[in-house]
Amino acid sequence: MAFDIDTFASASVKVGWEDLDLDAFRRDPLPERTLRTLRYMCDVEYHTVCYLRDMLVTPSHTDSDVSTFMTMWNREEYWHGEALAAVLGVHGITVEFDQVKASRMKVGWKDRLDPIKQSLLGNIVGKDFIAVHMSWGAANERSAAAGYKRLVALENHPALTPLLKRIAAQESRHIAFYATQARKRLEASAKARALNRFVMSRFWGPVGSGVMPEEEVDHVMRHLFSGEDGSREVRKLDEQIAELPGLEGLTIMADAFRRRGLVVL
Amino acid sequence: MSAAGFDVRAYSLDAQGSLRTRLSGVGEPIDDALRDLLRYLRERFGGTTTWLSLVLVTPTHKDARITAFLSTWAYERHWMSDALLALAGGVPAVPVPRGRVTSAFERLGPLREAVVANVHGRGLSAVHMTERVVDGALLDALLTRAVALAPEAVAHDLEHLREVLERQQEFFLETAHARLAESGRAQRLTRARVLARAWPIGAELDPAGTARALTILTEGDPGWAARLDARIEALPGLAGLGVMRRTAANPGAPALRTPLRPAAALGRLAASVVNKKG
Repeated sequence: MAFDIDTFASASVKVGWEDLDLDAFRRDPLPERTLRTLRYMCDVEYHTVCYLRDMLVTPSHTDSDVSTFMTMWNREEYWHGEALAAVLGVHGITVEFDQVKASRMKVGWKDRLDPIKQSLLGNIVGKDFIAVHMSWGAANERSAAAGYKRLVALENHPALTPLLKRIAAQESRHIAFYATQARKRLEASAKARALNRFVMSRFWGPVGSGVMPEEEVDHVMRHLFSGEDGSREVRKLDEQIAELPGLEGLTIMADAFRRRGLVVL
Repeated sequence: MSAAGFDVRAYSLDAQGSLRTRLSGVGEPIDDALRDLLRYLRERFGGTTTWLSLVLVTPTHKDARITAFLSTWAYERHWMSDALLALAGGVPAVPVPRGRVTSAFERLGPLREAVVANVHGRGLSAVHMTERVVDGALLDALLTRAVALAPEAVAHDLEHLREVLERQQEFFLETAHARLAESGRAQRLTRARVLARAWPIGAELDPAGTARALTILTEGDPGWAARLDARIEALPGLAGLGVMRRTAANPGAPALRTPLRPAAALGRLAASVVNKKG
């Protein structure tokens, strides 16, 4: 699966919603639990810069392809946050920069120590550590895209569905980059494969965990991935993630769900 | 900061993307000196992720308004860099080799900043915003000089880049002013940090290229350093800094000669020996 960074950069645009009838939400508002999930997704998209930080402390920022991708990816994700904030805004939920800042402030010492930890690991392990970040990013993007897909299926709302499909389409392009980078780097190094398997199996958690309150993570996972259809999506995600070299047989999504006491059928 | 005047959302909405289709000067013949200057500027306008790697490990990353701006700013800088490459003939400058020690310093930069951030805290935001004020002022002066040297079509394109840069500078200037005005500690930290690095940002990676670029600038605009210094020193607590005057005297190197300078020079000498061996 080839990934052309110049094509990706040239095609990078902010997600659009100006043509969508947001007044449809006034006529047919989203239920409370969906708004709670959307708020989570909105915050996570705004917090992309925190994930960007973790990647930039590794040697990855000196790679021009990675650097170009990060620049475009970070902006696209910011606009995903803005788009979701517009939907929340119609429902009377305002998301301001100061609120996003407040939630970042709450993370506290973990947030201070994370870049030190990441940077130390990046310097000790070297370039193989980039493979871990790329795998981690691929898993995050896959789970985010699956989340949007599940929300489309659950709500089937005339204004929400096209917006979430547009966001998911951009997430798919992000998946392509991360997965291509991860595969290339993992195929090239047994050390990267071993390290990646260890990190992904021990530490990976649903996107947003570690930044968002635990009860919100639980709500979103339960809302989006409960029941037979949700479980099918979880299994599918695990199959896709396990296709990366060295991750064969892992079920990190299902494991993360079970750790939270959620049932995967 | 919510009462600030710069509208980050409007800026993000109206960001300058790829300029390739609107450039009129691509393929225009330009002399070697201008090509060299455009390639140098291309390197300085790019490379934002290296600077961001140092900024985002500090409390600056918690300020959602700043990070929202930087998301769009990095995007614009990518395309400005791309436009400069196209105008320079599409062939990038030969990368300046980085030895082991230089690479190690670069690699350890985010770690150093992450540790230091726990000491300096919020004051670092004033540093980061001021860094971009200084950097942008110098890049604008270099762009202006390139305009004067360029054929009409290329000059027209470069003027557009100046307009994009000018808008970015509004944010940095406003935010730097606000952050510096908050505390004397932020001012002292900013003074020390601004003097401790080479200008423009990334200049230390290409000292020879920086010297050539500043020579071209001085030939056409002998008063640039004093003029830019006056603008920079209008920020709270930065009076008498003289960073551009020092940069003009010693291009590609940290602006201030400190008592530790001999030690730093010794370090650079050792680095060059190790680098040659590497």
